[in-house]
Amino acid sequence: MRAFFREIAHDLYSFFTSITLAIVLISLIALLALVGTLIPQETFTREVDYIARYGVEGYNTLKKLQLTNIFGSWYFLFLMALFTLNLSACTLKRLSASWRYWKLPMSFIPPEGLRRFEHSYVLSGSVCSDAPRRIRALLERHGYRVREQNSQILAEKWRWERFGIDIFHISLLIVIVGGLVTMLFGYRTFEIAHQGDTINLPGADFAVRVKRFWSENYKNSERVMDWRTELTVIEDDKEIVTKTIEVNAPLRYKGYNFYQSAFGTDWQGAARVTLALFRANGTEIGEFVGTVDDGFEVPSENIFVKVGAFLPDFALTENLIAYSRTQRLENPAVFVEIYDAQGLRLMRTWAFSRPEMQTFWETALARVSGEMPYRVKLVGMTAPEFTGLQITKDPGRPIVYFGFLFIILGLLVHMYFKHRQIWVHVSEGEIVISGTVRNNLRSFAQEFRRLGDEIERLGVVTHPEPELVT
Amino acid sequence: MKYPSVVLFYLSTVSYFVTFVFYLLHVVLGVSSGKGERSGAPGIVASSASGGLSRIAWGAWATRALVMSLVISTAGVIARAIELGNASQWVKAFFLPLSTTYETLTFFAWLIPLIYLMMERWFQIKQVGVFVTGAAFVMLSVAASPSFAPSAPTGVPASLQSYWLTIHVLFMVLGIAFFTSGFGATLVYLWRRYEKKLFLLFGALLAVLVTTIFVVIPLFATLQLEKMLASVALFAVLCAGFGWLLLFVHRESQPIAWERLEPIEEMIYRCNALGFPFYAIGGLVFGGIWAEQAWSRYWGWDPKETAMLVTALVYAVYMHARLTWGARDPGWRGGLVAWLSVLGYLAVLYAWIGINYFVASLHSFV
Ligand code: HEM
Repeated sequence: MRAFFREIAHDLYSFFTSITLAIVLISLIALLALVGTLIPQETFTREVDYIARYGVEGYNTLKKLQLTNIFGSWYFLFLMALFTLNLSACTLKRLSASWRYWKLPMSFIPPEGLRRFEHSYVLSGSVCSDAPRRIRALLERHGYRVREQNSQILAEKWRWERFGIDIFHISLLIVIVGGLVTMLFGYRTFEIAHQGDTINLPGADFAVRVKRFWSENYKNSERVMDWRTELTVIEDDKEIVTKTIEVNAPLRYKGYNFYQSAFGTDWQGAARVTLALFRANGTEIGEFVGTVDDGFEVPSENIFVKVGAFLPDFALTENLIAYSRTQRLENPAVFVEIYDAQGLRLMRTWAFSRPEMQTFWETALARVSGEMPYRVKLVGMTAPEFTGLQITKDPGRPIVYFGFLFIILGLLVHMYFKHRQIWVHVSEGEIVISGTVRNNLRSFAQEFRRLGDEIERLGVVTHPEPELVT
Repeated sequence: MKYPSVVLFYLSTVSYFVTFVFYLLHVVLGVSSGKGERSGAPGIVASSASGGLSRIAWGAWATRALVMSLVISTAGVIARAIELGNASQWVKAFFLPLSTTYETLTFFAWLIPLIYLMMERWFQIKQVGVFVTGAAFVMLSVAASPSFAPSAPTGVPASLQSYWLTIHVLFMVLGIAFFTSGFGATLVYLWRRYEKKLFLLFGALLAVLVTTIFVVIPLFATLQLEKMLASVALFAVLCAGFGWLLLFVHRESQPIAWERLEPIEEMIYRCNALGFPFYAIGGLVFGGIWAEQAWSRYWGWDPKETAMLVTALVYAVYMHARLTWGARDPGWRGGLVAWLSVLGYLAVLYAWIGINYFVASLHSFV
């Protein structure tokens, strides 16, 4: 029984430490991510846009296959979990291999062996007696750590570079962990604020007041240079700090971050509209002002007019769902419901400010629902400016940054240092020089030849012409 | 002319064209055996008996012309950076001229050949220059076309005003430049490996890509379950078909002279392995740090971000495949590793240019 489990454990271990598995998993993750770039993801796409693009049925299919949220789908998370296991297992295995490599000393190799190296160089002639000392000094000048064994010079440098890629792989894991911490314990909200608003955050022992906000244009230009919001942190009724945030410069306080994230006119949230009201026979009742989600009474008619929604750029999906294509005042429309004194709804309609839309809509409506008791036109609209603040609490941040730092260090070490080893065997009639570099890069050939030339130029070998053997 | 950079870029367009012609002559008339460039011997041109033209050291002239073109376009890029800085009133950022398509194209046409020049000095394989200078010429010509410019610089948008952005973009661009040299080297490698059969393989690859874009994706986008399944099946068949063709061609080819492939294989590997840290650090780390400041999150699966991740992953697959299957394997596995490098560059192109045509994203300014 014990043997059985040991075998299973062994199989699992070799499954998860295989680089082929890594290749397969990374390829699958890449493929899913590619699909995720082609299908807009729901974190930044509104339902109406999906429906405009794929229709209701298509949207439902996508949702069923979790393709609208591919990065949160069970199959993607499953792959990521497998990958994390794979990476951990590989790293552990390689780390122990690296440790053995680190511990493995350079050792004496007989000259016949040295001659068989891909990079080797023989100087023959009579060797003067201080040759070993001078060669050692030369190698040390080149940054090698030198040792002698049985009158053979063993030189090496950058043995530690082997750990570079391990550090890199571990840092990938650290970043994944940091991301998980933020996902599990973080907090994120988007707040729209007007001047003077105070924002309270759940779990925070302070509040933030929006003192003012403004935008700045480039000189002599309509282009916005930046948006700014002046924020004050208030703790125990005292003003603690005031900072003007802007795009790319958030306020950070007690683990919370406040980003300048949007700016504009709050059409959809707080538009104030002027409506002209007519009776069915065409006589005007008057002009009235109301705000979104509220309305006004018309005493002369004994009715209440409710302003339901305001869309700055009205459009319809193919399934006749109204939405706003942009946040600019391109085709403003307001949804109006009219109730009688008993609270019974008399009618509902959209009112437009573009005359051709108004005519089109009224004609269509008349065909579907017959004559309406009133006609409503949109004649004016204003809305307050707002500043949009993204607010987050991000406990994983230090972990992620720590991971980032070691990703950089690990990769740099791996790319720019390679462990080199040089053996120099000095005997009476000749000097044999051989070298290797980890991963056996061809570019080492040049460096090795230069080193050989320098040793030759030391002039420690005299008489018969030095002979080059490769 | 109001903007000196524009004149400089016109000049460098001409200069790159001349350089391209020199490299082409070098390949066509000069080195034909490839023996001359073994083990880093510099500047060797195989002598050939056929006529006077081939006696000119085209390779050496090509390199000189490349240096010349680089001098001109360096001046152009500096001029453009100053113009952009003036237009943006030097706000808060150190400006790389990368705020419009025109600027991006001209910047790449400077950096890609510059990186290539370094790699050429190192590996002494000049055939790659044909692709690189040809690409630079095409980029500059596209930049000069009426649809892109030569435009007046405008101030940069608020989200771009950060030195992290500058660092992020610089790293990405450097990564892409190394990958481009790597791709050029991959083309040379594949040519040496398959010679004329390469046309067949590239034809097939093109057919696979075109079918994917015009049949597989639209079929999938109908979102009817049967058609979606059919599209996935079709895609699998296409991939399998290309794989089969690759294997078939591998079987058919004569034993390959490995000495001819080895230096160019190492050039591919070095270019890709040098590009990877720039691309991955620039994208994942610096991109993340900057995105956190500007958009409040390191990573949001935004299409452009995601496409960049896909690219980094493909190159990671390339490097691991090379590690385990052995790039020095003269059999089909070694070839497959080179095809992964092609796939990586296709991903680079997708993340860099293609994505802008598929989806709107936060990144859509460049
Ligand atoms: C997205 C994930 C990964 C990335 C970006 C990545 C990246 C890299 C890079 C850049 C190298 C250096 C390759 C070279 O210089 O040729 C490398 C090497 C290596 N990777 Fe990964 N890797 C990832 C996942 C994994 C996984 C899951 C495994 C385990 C199966 C793994 C195992 C190895 C090993 C054993 C090496 C050998 C390094 C050497 O001996 O030089 N990697 N990786």
